[in-house]
Amino acid sequence: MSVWSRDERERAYTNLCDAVTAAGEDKESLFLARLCLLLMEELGDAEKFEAILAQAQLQSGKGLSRSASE
Amino acid sequence: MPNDRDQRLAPMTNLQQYYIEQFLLDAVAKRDPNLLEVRWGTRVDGLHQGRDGVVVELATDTVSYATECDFLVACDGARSRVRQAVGLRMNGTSYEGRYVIVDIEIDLDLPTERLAWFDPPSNPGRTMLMHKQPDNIWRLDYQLHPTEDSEEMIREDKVTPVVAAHLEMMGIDRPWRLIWTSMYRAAAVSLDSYRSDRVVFAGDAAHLVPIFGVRGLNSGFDDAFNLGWKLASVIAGCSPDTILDTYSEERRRAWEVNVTSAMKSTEFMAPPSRGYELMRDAVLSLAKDHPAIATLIDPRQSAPIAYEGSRLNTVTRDEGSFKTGPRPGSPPLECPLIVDGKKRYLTSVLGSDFTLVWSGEGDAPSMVTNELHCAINLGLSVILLTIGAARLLSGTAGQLQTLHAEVVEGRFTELYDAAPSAVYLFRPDGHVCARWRIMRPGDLSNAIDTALGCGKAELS
Ligand SMILES: Cc1cc2nc3c(=O)[nH]c(=O)nc-3n(C[C@H](O)[C@H](O)[C@H](O)COP(=O)(O)OP(=O)(O)OC[C@H]3O[C@@H](n4cnc5c(N)ncnc54)[C@H](O)[C@@H]3O)c2cc1C
Repeated sequence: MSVWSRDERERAYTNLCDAVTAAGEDKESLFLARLCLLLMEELGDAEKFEAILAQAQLQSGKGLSRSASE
Repeated sequence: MPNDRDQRLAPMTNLQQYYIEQFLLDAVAKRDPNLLEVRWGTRVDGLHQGRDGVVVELATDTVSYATECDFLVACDGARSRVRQAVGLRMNGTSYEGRYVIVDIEIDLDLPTERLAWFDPPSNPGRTMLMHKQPDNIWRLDYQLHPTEDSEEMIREDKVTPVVAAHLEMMGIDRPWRLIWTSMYRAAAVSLDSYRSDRVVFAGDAAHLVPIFGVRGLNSGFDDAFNLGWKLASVIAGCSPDTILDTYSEERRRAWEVNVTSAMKSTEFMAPPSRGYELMRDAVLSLAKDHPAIATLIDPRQSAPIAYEGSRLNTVTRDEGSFKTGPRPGSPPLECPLIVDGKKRYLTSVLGSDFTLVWSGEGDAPSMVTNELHCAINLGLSVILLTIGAARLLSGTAGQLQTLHAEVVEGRFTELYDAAPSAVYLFRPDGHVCARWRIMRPGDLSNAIDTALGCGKAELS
């Protein structure tokens, strides 16, 4: 269940995009990994975390940008 | 775009510019030719502003002449000659991204919707957009790569393979014909003020917005709706000319809102940097299973903008008791009604001047009709629309234009938070300028006065 308002989500998303750009292409993975760790601690729920981890996994034919539009 | 049972117009009603131009000319033809005249093939070359008028220099291929006017509305487009003559510049951001626009004629039975492909196999690295227009015309938009040459890329021999590959990828095997191509660059620029004494700017002459979200011509129309009645009111002597400053304030603010939305769409369609691109791809890959994340794809199509905080609004003592419904400054919420046994919609019954909508139990008191008569004596044509159980006291109508409507499934009550009673005053452009639960003497006159940009009590 999402508790974000539409405006809040959009603002957060824009900040996230800018932060990825600011990290630079060579450091963006590190930046995103750090972000995940911090969010994981903030979440503090092992069961939920397992479920989210599974959802984020890139299965074949799913989650790749190329196939998203098909 | 709103697409529910309350709407009069279907979403994605897409009209080519040449249709709109013909409709405008048809409307001109219905007017008094002494009041409205089109001078074809005539160019504005320059102008002088005087204290009480503007002299405009005009030229055809054979003659040059000058003409005088009280006010000049400059709608001469993005490269406005009038804007240059007045010495004004638009400020803001112009973007690097260039887009090719292609119209093709093809007989397809696909639904009316806007389709977007991000990085499709037919045209790797491009975002392709496609939507339906009338008469079997389909519009495709795609972004150029930074190294591609604009002039070259809109040539038929360059456009044809892009379109052909795209149609092939969609599995379409039908004959098609190239109708038109052009190139477009996104810009979010505006004049700081749309008024310079007796010259007023509207449409692309005043402001530009990025193409995504169809806000260009739509916001030009909103300019016209906003300016038309104010100019008429000044000329008729109902408003001081300072009301024209509220045109600039309201529409400039609307441009800011429009640009914010158009920017968000542009950032998604054509990511300006690596972060936007990576995140966009992530959103696309999650959107199908996560509706909340999918909201980030919202193309944010044009919608009328609320004039919150405008000095033409009246915030009444009852404002706090409204939990929902359009606030002062908001555009009308569409709402079905029954008038004379026929289904109508609120936006089609609003008058060309002010409309007072009276709903709830009981009669519209004579106090209200008296004040409406004052407004009519000023030369305004005000409509009193009673809704549902509300009725007009017999014998009060006189020269008042009145209309009665029945509610459809309680929609008005719900959309306008109108239980147990509510009174809304709409301005000539349809925006709400005040609302009450219960009116007292003077309320209506004050609100109309305020909306006309006058000081208090000029109506009474
Ligand atoms: C490819 C493309 C697609 C678009 N799609 C959409 C869309 O889907 N929805 C939308 O809402 N908007 C869209 N727009 C934007 C829209 O076309 C413009 O916002 C709109 O045309 C502006 O209208 P306007 O009357 O202000 O100016 P214009 O349409 O530019 O008209 C200005 C007029 O002034 C005349 N003129 C100029 N200089 C002089 C002079 N010195 N003397 C006399 N006459 C003069 C010109 O000949 C012209 O007729 C699109 C724009 C482009 C380029």
